Amino acid sequence: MSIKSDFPLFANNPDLVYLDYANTAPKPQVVIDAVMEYYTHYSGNVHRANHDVGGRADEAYENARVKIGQFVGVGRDQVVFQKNTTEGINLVANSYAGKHFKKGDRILATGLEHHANLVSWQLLSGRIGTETVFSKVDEHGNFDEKDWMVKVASGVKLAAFTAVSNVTGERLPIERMIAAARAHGVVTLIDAAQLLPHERADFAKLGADFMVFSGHKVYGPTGIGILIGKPEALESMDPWIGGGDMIDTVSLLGSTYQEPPLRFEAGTPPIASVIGLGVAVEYLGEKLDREHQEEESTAMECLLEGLRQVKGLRWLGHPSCDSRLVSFVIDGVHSADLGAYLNEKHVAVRVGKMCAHPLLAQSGVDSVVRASIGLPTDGTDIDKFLYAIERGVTILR
Amino acid sequence: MTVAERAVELEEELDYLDRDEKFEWLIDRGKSLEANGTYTDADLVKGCQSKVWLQVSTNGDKVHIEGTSDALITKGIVGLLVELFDTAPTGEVKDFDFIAWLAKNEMSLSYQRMQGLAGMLQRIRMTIK
Repeated sequence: MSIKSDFPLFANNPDLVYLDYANTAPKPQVVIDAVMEYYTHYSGNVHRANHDVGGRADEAYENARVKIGQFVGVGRDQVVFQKNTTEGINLVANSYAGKHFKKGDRILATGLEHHANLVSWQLLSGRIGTETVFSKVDEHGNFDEKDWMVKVASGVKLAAFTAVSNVTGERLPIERMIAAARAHGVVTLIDAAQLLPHERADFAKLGADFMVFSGHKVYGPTGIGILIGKPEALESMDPWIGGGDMIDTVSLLGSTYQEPPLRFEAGTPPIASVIGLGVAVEYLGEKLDREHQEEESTAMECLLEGLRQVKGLRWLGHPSCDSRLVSFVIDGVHSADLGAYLNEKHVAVRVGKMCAHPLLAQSGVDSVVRASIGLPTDGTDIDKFLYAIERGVTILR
Repeated sequence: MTVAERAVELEEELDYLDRDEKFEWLIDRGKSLEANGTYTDADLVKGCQSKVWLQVSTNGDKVHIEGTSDALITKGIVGLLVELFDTAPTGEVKDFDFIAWLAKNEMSLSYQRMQGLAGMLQRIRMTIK
């Protein structure tokens, strides 16, 4: 049976060609059921209820934390619930870098970063006077590893980098990057938002200090993101947001705080989303095998081969069958027009600057169309997409 | 001709078109819109995926409107605004609900594009208030 049948989005929208997985992934029925079951059967609060309903919520919530930890090879105490990838990076910027770094300390990012891993560091610079430096990208938008290796050895304190570009789909050599950073005593943060929907990553084996990802891109609910941290790194951080559940003792004179991860989870969390994400990573974990990866690669190869036939089409970076997304422009056709036409044909793609304004500026384009694939993508989707592109270009030129 | 009468004229064209044809009709209006003016950054309307330049002014009770865009659909929308509102009395322009008119004529626009349209309509409202 097709994977598509796991996703009610497709049953409810039979004409839909969904190629916007890098933006957000559809939810399988098992995830929706888990969220629904929480609300219909045991919708108590967590960590603060003395009744059975709350107890069931506690159990499901903390079980989800264990499953999410297992998904990336860490224990439950290393799994911090945040709102999304962006909030996870901001937490590290505020509570780790903000505490341990001082004016003039440098943070290294790449020229490929999503705004989440760029603006967070700019805000920190404004607050404490750190400086953010960037490794180069070439004229096609490719990562310059040599330049990054020079910069990581230049006395920077922290290197924050995307594992997979949300614009070019390039998968960075994060294993080599982490090894080099460690050799120079540089703290590392991986933005794994575009990596984990397609590839397993064992945090302990990678040896990074922090890793962040979003629930909604790994087939889970929105409103939940994950920060994974080394125990000693998390323990060294002060809370960023104060309130209920993150405290140990409170008096009018001052407070003491919980150990991580609860120290960073003030207030009532998105309980249903956490429970849903626990189911989502189980679902995805079963499918991150060679067979499904080859299917995704085949779909990507067909997509790229079709796009190669479009006259005047130029993509950013060098996408291959190993990529899971491609961003492109077509001579004489505005991306906004093409996106609107594709929408008319029930093809969902992303159009615009991809929350990566500097990279698009460097590549000399104002906006792009991005097609991204996921587990349910099949040959029919690719055929319909390519046909719509061909027709759209004819009408819009 | 009043704004309402101009709208009816356009509706007569649209009545015979299916969804695909309406899309192409709008594209054709974009292709045929002549950008007469010289535009500056001050004319740019924020909130649209494409660039839209819109100049709106009043001469007595009459509205003057012209503009262009680097994308065809948006340019087509600018063309409709010009066709409906240019030289029309300010009171009629104020009273005409352009978004409702698009919806009534089943002119499908993505949400993002509606955001750009909201900016254009805001520019018109601010000028003629």
